[in-house]
Amino acid sequence: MLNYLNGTLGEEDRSIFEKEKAHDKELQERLELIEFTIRAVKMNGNKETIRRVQQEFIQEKLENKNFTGIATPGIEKKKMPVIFWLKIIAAVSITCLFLFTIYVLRNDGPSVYEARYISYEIAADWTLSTQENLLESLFIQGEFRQMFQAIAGRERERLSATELLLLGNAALELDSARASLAYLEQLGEIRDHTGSDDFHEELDFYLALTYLELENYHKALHLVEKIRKNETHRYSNNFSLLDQLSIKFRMLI
Amino acid sequence: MNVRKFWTDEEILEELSQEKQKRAAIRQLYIGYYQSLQGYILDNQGSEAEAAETIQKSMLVFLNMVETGKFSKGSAVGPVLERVNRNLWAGTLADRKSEKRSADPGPDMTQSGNGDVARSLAEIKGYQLINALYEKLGNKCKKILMLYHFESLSLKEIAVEMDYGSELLVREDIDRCMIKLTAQLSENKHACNLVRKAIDDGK
Repeated sequence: MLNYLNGTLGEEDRSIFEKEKAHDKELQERLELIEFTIRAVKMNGNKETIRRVQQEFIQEKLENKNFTGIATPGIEKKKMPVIFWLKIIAAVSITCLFLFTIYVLRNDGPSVYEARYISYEIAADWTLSTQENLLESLFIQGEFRQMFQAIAGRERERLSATELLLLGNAALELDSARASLAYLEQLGEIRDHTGSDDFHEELDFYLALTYLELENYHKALHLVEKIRKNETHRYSNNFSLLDQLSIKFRMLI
Repeated sequence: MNVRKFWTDEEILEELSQEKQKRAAIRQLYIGYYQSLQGYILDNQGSEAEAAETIQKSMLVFLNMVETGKFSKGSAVGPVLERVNRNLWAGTLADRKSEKRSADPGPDMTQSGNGDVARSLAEIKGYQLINALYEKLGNKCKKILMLYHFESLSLKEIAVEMDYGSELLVREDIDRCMIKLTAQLSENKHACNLVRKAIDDGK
């Protein structure tokens, strides 16, 4: 029987034994008893192993007051492999890139224009001619349409720099970037022609906004970079780096 | 022992069946479930010492379930261990009550719970009877049976470990010790009947 259980019986003997076993209930019971006895010996070993593990475990638990099991993770911190952290970094980078892309995609020229536009404020120390005084008072009163009626019949080339700036801003207030562009570019030409430095900061800013509204990204970027680069520029803080990147991105697509 | 990794149920079950990893697997069971098993007993009128004792028994029952195929594949380890623990503790509480009532004999632990757990508990009672006889064997017999049946060493390894001249001598001694143990059991009719009952109850 032991040889049968140990697997040391020859094939022929094994076959004979199995045939006998199939018909002999007593033999089956004896075999069962031996198998059970072997399991009992094994279980005795298991019992001793469990006893030792438990002893060690409780000892560790006593030495480590902060001990917690898996149910409340804390003990035996799993050492995260480098690949794990690389994956985390990659996931964070991809998320940031995704969010940035979404931001940039949503941030087109008109959006930047909407976000950055501020109404022009007339400086208190202006010395103005009569015509300029009229436009100024209409501008202050918000009578933008009447400003254009007031200059009706006058050629754009004959308008002063102050008038062009006010009219350009009035056009922006009336949501007409295209009209604004004509006045502001005219102002730019005068400035280039005369070498005057008047209103150069205002011109940079409102012309940049106008280009953004008209989605002329190339010209807008040039002005935005110029404004941001010059820390003393009056409008240097009005455009952010993200605005600048959004414009660049728009140029790419 | 530095096990720096939490094991999955599948890993625990796989390693429990391999003698060399069994100890580490049991340790994982302790790390994973001791706290919740203890919590149950403490919440149900038990002390820490009683919890430790019950958990030790629960682990043994669980191991027997795994080794005798009573642990159904696909089951989660945690719920089964908790069920074993609950059954054992219910038995202890029932014993405690019956002790108070003095005359009544305590309920049979093998009757507590149902199915696989109860069958495994019945078997463990049988093992305990046999192990009482095993303890009466000489040290050499106890050691050789343990090395062969529990630690699963080969005859060659046992020959080296116990300084035998040949594997054949080891084989002969294993068989001799086994015959001695079963003979002791056969000689004790009462114990033998109880073991047979345990075998039947465990089926």
